[in-house]
Amino acid sequence: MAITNPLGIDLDHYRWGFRDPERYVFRARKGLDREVVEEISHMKGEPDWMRAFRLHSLEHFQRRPTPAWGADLGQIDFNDIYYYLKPSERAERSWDEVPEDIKRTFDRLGIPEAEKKYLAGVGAQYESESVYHNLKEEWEKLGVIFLDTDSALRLHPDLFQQYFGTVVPPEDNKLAALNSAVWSGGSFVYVPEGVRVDIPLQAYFRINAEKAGQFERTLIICEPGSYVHYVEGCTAPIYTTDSLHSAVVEIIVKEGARCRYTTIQNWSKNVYNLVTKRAVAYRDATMEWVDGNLGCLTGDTRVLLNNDVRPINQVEAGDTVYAVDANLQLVRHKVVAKKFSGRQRVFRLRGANHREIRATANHPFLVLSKRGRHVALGWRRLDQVAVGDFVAIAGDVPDSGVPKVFEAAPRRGLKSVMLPAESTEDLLWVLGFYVGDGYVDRARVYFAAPQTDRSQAKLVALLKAIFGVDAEIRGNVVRVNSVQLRDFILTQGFAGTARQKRVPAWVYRLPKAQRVSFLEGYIAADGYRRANHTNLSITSVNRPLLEDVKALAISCGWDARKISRWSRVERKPLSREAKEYAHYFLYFGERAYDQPVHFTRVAAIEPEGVEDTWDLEIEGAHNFVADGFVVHNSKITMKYPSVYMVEPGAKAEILSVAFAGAGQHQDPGGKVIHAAAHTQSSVVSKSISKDGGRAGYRGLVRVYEGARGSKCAVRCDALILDDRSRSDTYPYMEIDEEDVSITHEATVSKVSDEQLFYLMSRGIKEDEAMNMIVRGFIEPIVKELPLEYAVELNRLIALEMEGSVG
Amino acid sequence: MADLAIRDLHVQVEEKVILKGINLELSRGEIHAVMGPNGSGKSTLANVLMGNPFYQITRGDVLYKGEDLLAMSPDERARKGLFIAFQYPVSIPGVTMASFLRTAVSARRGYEQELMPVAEFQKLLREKMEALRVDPAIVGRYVNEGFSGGEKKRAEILQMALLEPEIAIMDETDSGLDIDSVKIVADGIMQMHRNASGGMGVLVITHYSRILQFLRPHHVHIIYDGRIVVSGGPELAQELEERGYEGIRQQFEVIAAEVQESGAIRRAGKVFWVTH
Repeated sequence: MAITNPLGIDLDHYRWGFRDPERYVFRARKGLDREVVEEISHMKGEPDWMRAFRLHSLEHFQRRPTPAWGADLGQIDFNDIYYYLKPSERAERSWDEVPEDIKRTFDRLGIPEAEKKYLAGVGAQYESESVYHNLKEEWEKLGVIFLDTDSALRLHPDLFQQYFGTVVPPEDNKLAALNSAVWSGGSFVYVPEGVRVDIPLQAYFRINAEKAGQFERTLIICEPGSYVHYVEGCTAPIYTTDSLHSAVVEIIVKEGARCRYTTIQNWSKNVYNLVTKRAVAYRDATMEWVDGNLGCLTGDTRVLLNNDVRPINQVEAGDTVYAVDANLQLVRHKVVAKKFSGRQRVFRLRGANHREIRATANHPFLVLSKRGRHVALGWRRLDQVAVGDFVAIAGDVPDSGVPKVFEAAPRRGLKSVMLPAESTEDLLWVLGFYVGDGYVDRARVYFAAPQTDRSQAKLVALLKAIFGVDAEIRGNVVRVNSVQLRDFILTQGFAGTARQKRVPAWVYRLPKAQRVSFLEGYIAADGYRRANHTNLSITSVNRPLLEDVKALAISCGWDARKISRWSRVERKPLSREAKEYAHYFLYFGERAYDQPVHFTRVAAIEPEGVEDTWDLEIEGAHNFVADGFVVHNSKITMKYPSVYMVEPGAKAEILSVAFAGAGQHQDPGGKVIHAAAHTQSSVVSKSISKDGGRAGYRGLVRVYEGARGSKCAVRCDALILDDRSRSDTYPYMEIDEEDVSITHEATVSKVSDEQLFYLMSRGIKEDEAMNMIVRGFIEPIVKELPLEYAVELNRLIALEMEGSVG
Repeated sequence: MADLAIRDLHVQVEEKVILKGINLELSRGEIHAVMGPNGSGKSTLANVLMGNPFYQITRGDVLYKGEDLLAMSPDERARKGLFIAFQYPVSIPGVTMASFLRTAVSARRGYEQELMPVAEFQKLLREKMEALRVDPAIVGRYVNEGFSGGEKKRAEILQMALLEPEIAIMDETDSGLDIDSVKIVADGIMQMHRNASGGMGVLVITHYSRILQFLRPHHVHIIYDGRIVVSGGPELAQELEERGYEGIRQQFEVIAAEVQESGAIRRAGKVFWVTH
């Protein structure tokens, strides 16, 4: 998904919180019942008939089984969705009145030229209600109505009631019933007799709040002899939690009228897109559906090494990891499974802020990259990430830690100490200090804490408070004579010499305050500020320990940076002679990672040899934090626009293009119903699949008895870009009339080596050549689109195509 | 050293050996013709030089301006000035000639992120189309789709004119063309050859000597069973025209038998064979 950056914002400094602060006036609770539906109707101030209609629909929804045909919908939890969100008190009329943050959202969506050109005609849906509709004056004069559906109900109640729900009644199917019960927003178009609307009417919308179901309802009425082209463009940039889009579109095309409805679908993969679109075409009327179905994310689940608390090979099913959600927030998700994925070649990606991760070439990262004036945000394979791009990193991880409960230890030694029942901030400070400057012998615990250091007093006080012991101060050493304390420290994972100590795994799972306290204790021992530097550094002879501390600091949102090696001559406190030590320094920066997700510039990507690699499968999300982010999503698009040709001479045309990338299942198609004589239909479906995606066509041609002389042509072309991808075609035909002409043609092709070679022999690079072939394949659809949409579609295809080579 | 130096090139497809040790040197400003009967490996040679992945190179190397040509991808070769006019250009449905040509010219001219400006490209395209008498309607059509044989060949020459190669390989460009078309195409090539700054090398691969009347090669090579068995001047083409490939075949068989026995360099009539 490309996002314009019209202000030329410096991405290094700009905190890319794509999400707008949710400024909802009213937010219904999750779930669906009578009360929620009544609340929606009440909030909207609807007439009684609509309230009754909604409740009637709800009953139907609750009674009906989930549809069995098409893709599997069993995973949708209808009770885990917000059914209504209202962004502001009322729908705006002029662009100037649109709130700034909403405008910014549109800016970031990269709304194309259309925005400027047809500013006056754009209906924009933000969340579940249109915030802004403006109609060109001349259309108003002609009697054309172009409103958000809610306003139309208020302003044109009679017209509305006459047609609403007539093409797709709530009883039609479960999803139609759902939409009918909770619908909100959408477009209402009325074109009076004989009026031609030459400029396409366009509506943009997007889903913003997490788990915000979109249930818009569009109603288009074309009076006899009229013409309208309605364009629905959707862009949902980087949504990674489940979201449901279930719209209903009803279109009435009266005698001799023509209606074209164009959709550019750019849902991210995690959106369930279940749409009922239906048109009724009367005598000699023409209905055309043009449909582009694209996902904008690609990816799989290859992951290496650390998530930010544990090496991935130690992660187990049932553990909790952090994933990025639709709003660039970090949320917790359970690990469903971990799989060993073999030994593979890995690469080290180093950020400008010295965050590092090792991953396979196909491991996807969340990347911002500049292309000309545009900034694209999306998931890209590591081998497609370039130095200079910006990758998303975890900032302030939500605090979900719990204190550690300690088992009671048997009493040992002469002196009894109190052992804490569970971890506290004070205890962690002491343990942090111990990791830096502590050691034990057979019966004692020692801390090297010079008297000049304020830490000494604090340490002694804390030892007294926590363990009830009186520490002895021997010069620069604080000593506790206690076998029990010694054993406690060792059994909690702090054994080893200065060169061997590590941060035990349980420390990462503590509440943030305790982790911070541990770091502070450690810094009190090993940290310092270099002369002329304001930033903190930590020094240690133990590099693995510093790596641990860095990971821990990152989990606290600290700007832990580079670890570098120095060797220097130094006199240790207890040593008489100077000696050369190899030292390591961990530097901290001053940037506050106070947002959940930040972006850092990629400084280097280097090969690192071959290593074991692992996969994680995450419940309810398909990415997780591992110093970078990973996505794997597999959601479904099901939409079968249909045309009922109910009077002689009616025509239907359905053009659709679907692009299925990794983990995607695109299942578009169409239905044409010939219910009158001399009706004509043409269905053209183009599908492209790559990286293991599945794209296909599912269509129904129904010819009723008496539809004499009708013609139907179905053509399905599939382009498969690699051996792992699939194409499926499910043409259904039910023909009850003999005097008809039906043709069905299907082609499945692979991008041929000859075509690639031909283009490359002219100097065109392989990925661009592949791109051209795919663009050529969908050209018959693209040329039917308004220019700016054609450009958009091509750009989306180009983004989808990235990484398809090599 | 020659701009293009082919040394001991062995090529096979699956188990079938097609080229059995080709040696050839060609420089800018020179026109070479490679002639041979069907199945002798002419087109394989052309395709291998351009980097068609269908063929496996088992031995030998090719230096292009001193660099290892075989290590380059086809697009890299093209950007460095190598060109092939295909015998059977494939069609690319949905991609217009205009956008294809603009992309290709932009690549050749080193435009990285953007394409060559439209106006500049249009001017260039118009000039070249006029010079080659190509119907301007062609640019609105999809690449090679529904083109007649003659249209395809002319489209190839148009691409060549636009890409301004340093070395151009013409793979049976004359086949399937009537004599008038052959002349137009040949004139176009000669014009490019004369006008190319720094000179253009041309490797004409052909079955018939017909196009050579117009192209006037400096050197003629005869390829037979995967080897260049005769090299000479333009008179060789004339001779081949009169006597056909039969004479070559007979001489070839004589020495093939002798080489089998002794393994030495042999010559029978004009045919020689160097064992490697």
